[in-house]
Amino acid sequence: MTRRSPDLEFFDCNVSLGRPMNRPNGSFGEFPATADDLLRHMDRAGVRRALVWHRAQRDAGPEPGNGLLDEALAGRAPRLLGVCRTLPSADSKSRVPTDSSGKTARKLIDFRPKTAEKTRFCLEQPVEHGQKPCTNAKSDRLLGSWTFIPFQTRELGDADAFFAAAKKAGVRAFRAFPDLHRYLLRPEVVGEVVERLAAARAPLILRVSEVGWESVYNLLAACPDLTLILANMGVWNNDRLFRPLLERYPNVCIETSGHVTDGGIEAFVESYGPRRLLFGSGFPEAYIGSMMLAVAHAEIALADKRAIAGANLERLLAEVRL
Amino acid sequence: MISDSALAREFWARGKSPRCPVIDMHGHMGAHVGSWMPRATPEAMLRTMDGCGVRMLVFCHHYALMAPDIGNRPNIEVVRRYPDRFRAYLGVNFNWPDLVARDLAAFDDHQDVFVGLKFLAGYHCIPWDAPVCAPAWRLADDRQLLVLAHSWGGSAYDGPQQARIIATRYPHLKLLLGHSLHGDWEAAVALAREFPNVYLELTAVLDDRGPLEMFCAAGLSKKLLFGTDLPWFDPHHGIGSVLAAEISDADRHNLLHRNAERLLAGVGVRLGRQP
Repeated sequence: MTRRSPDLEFFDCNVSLGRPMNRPNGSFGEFPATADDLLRHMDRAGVRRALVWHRAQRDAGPEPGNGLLDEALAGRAPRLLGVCRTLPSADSKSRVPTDSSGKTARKLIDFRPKTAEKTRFCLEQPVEHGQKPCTNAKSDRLLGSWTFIPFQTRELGDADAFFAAAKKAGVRAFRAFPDLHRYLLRPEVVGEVVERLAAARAPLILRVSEVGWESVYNLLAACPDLTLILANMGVWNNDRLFRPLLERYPNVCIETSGHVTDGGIEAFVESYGPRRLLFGSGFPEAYIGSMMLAVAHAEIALADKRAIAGANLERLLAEVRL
Repeated sequence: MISDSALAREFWARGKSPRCPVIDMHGHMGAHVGSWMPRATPEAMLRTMDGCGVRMLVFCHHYALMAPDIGNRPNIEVVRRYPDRFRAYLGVNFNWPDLVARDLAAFDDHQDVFVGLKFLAGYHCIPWDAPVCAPAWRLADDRQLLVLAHSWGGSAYDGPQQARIIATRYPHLKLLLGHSLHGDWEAAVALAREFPNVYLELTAVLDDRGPLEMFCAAGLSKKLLFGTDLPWFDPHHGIGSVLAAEISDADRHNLLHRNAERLLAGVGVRLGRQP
């Protein structure tokens, strides 16, 4: 154990970009609209990397949100062109749409209604399994996470194409907002999707304060192998709610912005070890530095601090096989 | 780390700062029915306080607020066991006015223990201006005590209108608005600016990015008091928020210890050794 600040590399699993529809009451600081804005805040705090989502994913939906996220992180990975509209043909899901010149389509985001047409995500280049996303300095630090809605309405087009696009974009984690997007986290609705995530070991991140614990329990009962990160649990102690899940489902993790109980880090590590506790700040709603200080000076082993600060998230993302 | 301030660097390196001995003005103690707290004993809390550089905690035991048949006895026992590190607020639950009357009558016998009163009107469901509360407010006003009063935006029991009534009616007591009228930050700023005896206490305020900067930008850093609800919340979480906020180190010193030192001196508390 150590009380002196260790050399920790923080990888924040809970950071958002973009402006929310409604500005939270009393918020004072800027909402980072660009990757550079976010990196400036991360540099000030001393956070090396972040797993990022975009506010528009929640407030406007997956189509514009995933596209805006990828735009913000542009240069990080093969460029997501957004939702491309394709004519409803039987083989459309296997082809990348092209424009009239035969070049790869580059429509970034299409906000128009798509009544009779199929929509689907596409990429600048055809998907090739095993291809690594191109990277630059920014890309090393910011990883995007996409959101989805039930595929039964075909709003996201074909699930295969969606996940292929996600893979191509370097996405390794997903978020769902079932309350606002008006669906249930039940097997009838998202069973195939979460089974696919579980098989790929791709983490799903939920804002528990919005989703509710009952939905979390139902989801895990239906898909016990899912890698599920419980974020934004709310600051009242949640041990009575999450411990039964940790003890039943091996791939459930919790995130620190909702685990601020005094002695909570130490108690978690004593009961379950450090591998399923992930540093997350909840920025920009919360300060990046709040739980950094708590992790850095928790009364646990240095190796455990390193795991919580960033190594656990690195491990989870490295295991993903979309 | 956390931010570019000298104070942040110091806390980051050591977890505490000898030149910034924190005073936590909003604590509790013991088990709570709705929340598991692994460090709820006085000794466990002292361990946390030592690690975070918290020089003194002013608290009210959960049982004093929620178990009338136990009442304030744990407050008295703990402060007398650890007088250098703890002071208490006398818990008052006006659902049991006979018990409150008994405790108020004995207040002067416990001047070594209590720095004032603790109201929890939102839980007890009796507004601050109810006639049954008047004797307690009068005692606090007569003795210029500190009154830590849980407060919440929009509440009919302990919201902005109640705060205005009490601050006007009892100008000699120090009204510490616990949680700073949580969510109604504009009203908190207005009241703290208007009334010299109104202070804003920061428990649960620091969960959100923004209100602290708003308070300091309004020129109120000398009216702010650090608090954590310990044993609820890790003090390093709250201190980390203060260090991360876009305010000055002078503001941080004010709210982490200087304002509390001034208020405690006013009720005769001499601070003990630094942890």
